[in-house]
Amino acid sequence: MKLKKILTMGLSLSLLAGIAAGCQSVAAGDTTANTSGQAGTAADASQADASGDVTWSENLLDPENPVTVKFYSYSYASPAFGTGFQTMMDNFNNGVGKEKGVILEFVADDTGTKAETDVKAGQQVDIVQAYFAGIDGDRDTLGISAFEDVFPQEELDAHFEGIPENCLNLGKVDDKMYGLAFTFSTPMLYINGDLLEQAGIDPTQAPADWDELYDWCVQIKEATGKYGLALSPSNSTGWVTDSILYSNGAKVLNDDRTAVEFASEKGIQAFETWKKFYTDGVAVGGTDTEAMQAFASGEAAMHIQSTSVYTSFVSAAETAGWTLYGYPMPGFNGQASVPTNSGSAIVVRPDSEQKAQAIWEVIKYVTGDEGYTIITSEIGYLPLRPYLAEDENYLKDFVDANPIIAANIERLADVQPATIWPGDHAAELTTLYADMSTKALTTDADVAQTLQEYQDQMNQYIQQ
Amino acid sequence: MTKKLSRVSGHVILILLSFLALFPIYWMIISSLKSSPEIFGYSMITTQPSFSNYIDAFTTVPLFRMMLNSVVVSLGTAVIQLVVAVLFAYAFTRWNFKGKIVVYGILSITWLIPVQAIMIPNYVEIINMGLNNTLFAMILPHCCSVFANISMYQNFNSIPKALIDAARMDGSSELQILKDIVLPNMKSSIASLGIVLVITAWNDYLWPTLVARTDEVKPIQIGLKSFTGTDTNMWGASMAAATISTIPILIVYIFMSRKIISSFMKGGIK
Amino acid sequence: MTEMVKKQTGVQINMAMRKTAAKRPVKISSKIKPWLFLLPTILIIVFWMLKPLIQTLMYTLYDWNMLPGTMPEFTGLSNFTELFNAPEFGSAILNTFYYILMMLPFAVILPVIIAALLQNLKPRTQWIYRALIFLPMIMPPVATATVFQWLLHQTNGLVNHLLVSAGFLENGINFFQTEGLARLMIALITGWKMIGFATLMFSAAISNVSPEYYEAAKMDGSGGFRRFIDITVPLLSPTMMLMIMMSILFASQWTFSYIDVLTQGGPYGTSTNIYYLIYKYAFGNSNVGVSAAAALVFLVIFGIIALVLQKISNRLAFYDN
Repeated sequence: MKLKKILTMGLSLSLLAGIAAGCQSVAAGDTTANTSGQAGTAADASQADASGDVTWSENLLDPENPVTVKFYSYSYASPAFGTGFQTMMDNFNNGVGKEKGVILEFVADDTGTKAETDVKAGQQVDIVQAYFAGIDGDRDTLGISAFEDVFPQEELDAHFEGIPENCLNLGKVDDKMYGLAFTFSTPMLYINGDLLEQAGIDPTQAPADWDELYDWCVQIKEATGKYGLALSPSNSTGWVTDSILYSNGAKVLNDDRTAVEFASEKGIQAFETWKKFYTDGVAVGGTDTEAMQAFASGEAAMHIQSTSVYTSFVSAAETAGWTLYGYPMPGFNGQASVPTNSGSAIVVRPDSEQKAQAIWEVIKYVTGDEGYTIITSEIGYLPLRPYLAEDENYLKDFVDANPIIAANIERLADVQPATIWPGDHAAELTTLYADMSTKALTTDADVAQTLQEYQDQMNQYIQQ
Repeated sequence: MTKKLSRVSGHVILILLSFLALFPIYWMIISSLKSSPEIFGYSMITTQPSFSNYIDAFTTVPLFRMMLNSVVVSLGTAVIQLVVAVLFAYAFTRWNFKGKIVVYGILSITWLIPVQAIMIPNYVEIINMGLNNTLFAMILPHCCSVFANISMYQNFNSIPKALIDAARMDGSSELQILKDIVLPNMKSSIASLGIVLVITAWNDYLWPTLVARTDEVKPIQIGLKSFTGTDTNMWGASMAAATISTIPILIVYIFMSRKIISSFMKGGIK
Repeated sequence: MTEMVKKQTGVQINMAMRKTAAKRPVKISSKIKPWLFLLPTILIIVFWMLKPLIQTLMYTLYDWNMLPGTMPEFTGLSNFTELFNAPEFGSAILNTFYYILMMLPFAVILPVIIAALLQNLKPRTQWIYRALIFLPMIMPPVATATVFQWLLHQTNGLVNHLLVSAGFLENGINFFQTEGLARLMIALITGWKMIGFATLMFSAAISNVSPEYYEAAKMDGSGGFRRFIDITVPLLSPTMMLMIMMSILFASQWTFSYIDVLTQGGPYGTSTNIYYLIYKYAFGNSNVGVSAAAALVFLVIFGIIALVLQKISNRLAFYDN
């Protein structure tokens, strides 16, 4: 009929038009490469300068003509953390920044992907608050530089004094520091004291291990009808999963980062223990946000989470009138757990020596004594500099008043890096790892089989 | 007897469906009016409505600015789409020309292309034009709505050709015919179509996520997302923000539901 | 009504004549004229739709992450190998069809029944029901998603609270993190939005059916249900065909924002569909080539479906007046 004729004619014509447009699109593609090429050369140049030992012969900063540093931050975007970051920004810009000629500008990156899209759009992105798991991938997707390649070694050494060695290792890839640990925490067990007391459990003591934690959960469920534990199977980037596996002696990536090996006997065992909580209905899972919401609203008695949300739990407890306790996450068979790090690292992409100097001023401030005092006291993250906790000018009062922070600081020396996924497929691997936990823990699927399946799939990506 | 029974059961089904359609919207509004501990209770009403959630919502993200962005983008898009569609429909009604069928064919095929299939090149294009993170970036690629063109053409078909011919014989230029004869007759259907286009643009989601980067440029739909990923229990503020984003459309709907419904009935959606 | 329009336009013609009598319009070749009017449409469609479509097709052969300073690198067909081997690809294709199938009750079956129920009511009552059932259609998608997220929340949502307190469940369900339920919820929310619109389409179609058919059937003594099957359903078949076509072609598109806000394709990729996959590959995984390859697969499948549907609807068109 008529319609059919129209359709066939239209189809063939649009194909013709397509071929014509195709020629055009090649030209369009070229301009893309050209405009973006310029950004590329700048970065290349700075890296060429920077290869080998970096030296700064002169101070390129000028208080009369300040340099703006754009710092993409997901914490700044969050209603719960944003004020702390605002304070840091104001203090920097009115103090060191004014004096040296640097203006710090936080850019709210609520999804954590804006930095990437803006880099692609060729916009100025100098510092990014990045998740550890994606750092290797960021080398490619954000075009970030190693600290050793853009900052002088003596500056680095001087600034890193007082930071535990293993914390400095958290953001290393191929022996170079691509990410400097910034806001981070170890997994903590939060406790709603009132619910535990209702179940006849003393909340002033931490559970000895996962087995005792399980018994508590059963007791709580029976006595109060509420969930014993809130823990997301995928827990944001999977850092708690890492910690649980490490605590039972399992590994996630092998030592030379060429294969995953979590489907080991130890790994399967840890997952079996963890899974029981969900199958018996004494723990609530969901996304990380949902798990937090369950605990904050009093629907779950305990919760494993970073200390980043400490202040919001404090206010939730205050409004609802219950007492908040916190301990390090338990381990297996009476052993302490092996803590991993949540949170973020600072990654940098300077495009000139002047910019590198400006960025360094910002880093020295936000990861210095004053920066960490604000980050810890206003948000709840760990101070990367443990000595601040003893210093009355900085965090002593705060730490004394908030024992959960002290407990968290104690774990700092034992922190093992959470998994940093190999670069090319970091995004896909992060997703698969989260999917693996969700499937193994919350469905009827056999744990050993599921872990093996995902291990094979992930190895396919890594070895591609 | 059976007639009465079937009548009653019909009403029961319809009332149930209306309830299902209405309740989520009611729950959104009532939740937004509950204060912090009350929101976790499940009461159907609130005895002490509080606007604290609205204050929270407005202080967390610049909602006013985002509403304004949405208004500019959706009105701008709709007006341009209407102009383009009017010109298109006039050409199609007025003349029989070679290639008409081909143009129509291409148009109906492009109607089937999903945004996802063309978003990457368009995104790159917007960046090359230096328009990323501007309101233009949200309007420009949507200047022509295939749906608007086709419905406008269908509307124009109802104009008696004799009217146009009479004016032409009289020596009026094409634009004069369009302005003085066609448009006055089409006022009502253009307005109906316009409403549909504004609502469609207001509710657009995927493309603005890509090109609206900062709070100053984000339309309200994207701004709302800031609440869904937050860590704490911001349900009150979140529901308040959702309510705010819905209210302009809701008001338009309450006053113009007849027109909106009839234009949807005529036009279809995309 | 038509009388009035005619009168009004008559006046306007007179006015127009008076106005234009003085000037002589510039002569433009009548062959070019229509194209001048079509120019905006053609330029925009070619520049913002056809050109990028071709570019997408070209990207299928390249590896690129959209990073400035990098060039797309020619890799031949390896994007397709990566796509077909990707763990979510199979479930994305299956779910695309799942969403289409789940749309049918909301786009066709229920709306036909509702429209038939409405038909016998007083116009005013009809109007109120229609306005209410249509309301979800105009709700902004993110607001809709947020409301359902809140209603269905595992520990604080109203639905789980009611289910648990009524004793149907011991613990609340996590609707958006449970395999099967997540995609069902996405489909139901999309259906919730669709049903009012589809009802309108069928109501409009029914109101065009001449009452004489029904009178005749009543004389024959057939009951309400019989009349529905014998008269309403066949006469509505063109509209049904239209709605089926729309469901098939757009169902997955309508689900996009709900998937993005509520599940991000999860749990473990079981609620994703081809549209979401295209988006995720491009802007989540920075893998333009694989994203484009997924887009091409989509275009081929749906192109074939569209052609088949066109054939069927031509065959069914004899019901049309």
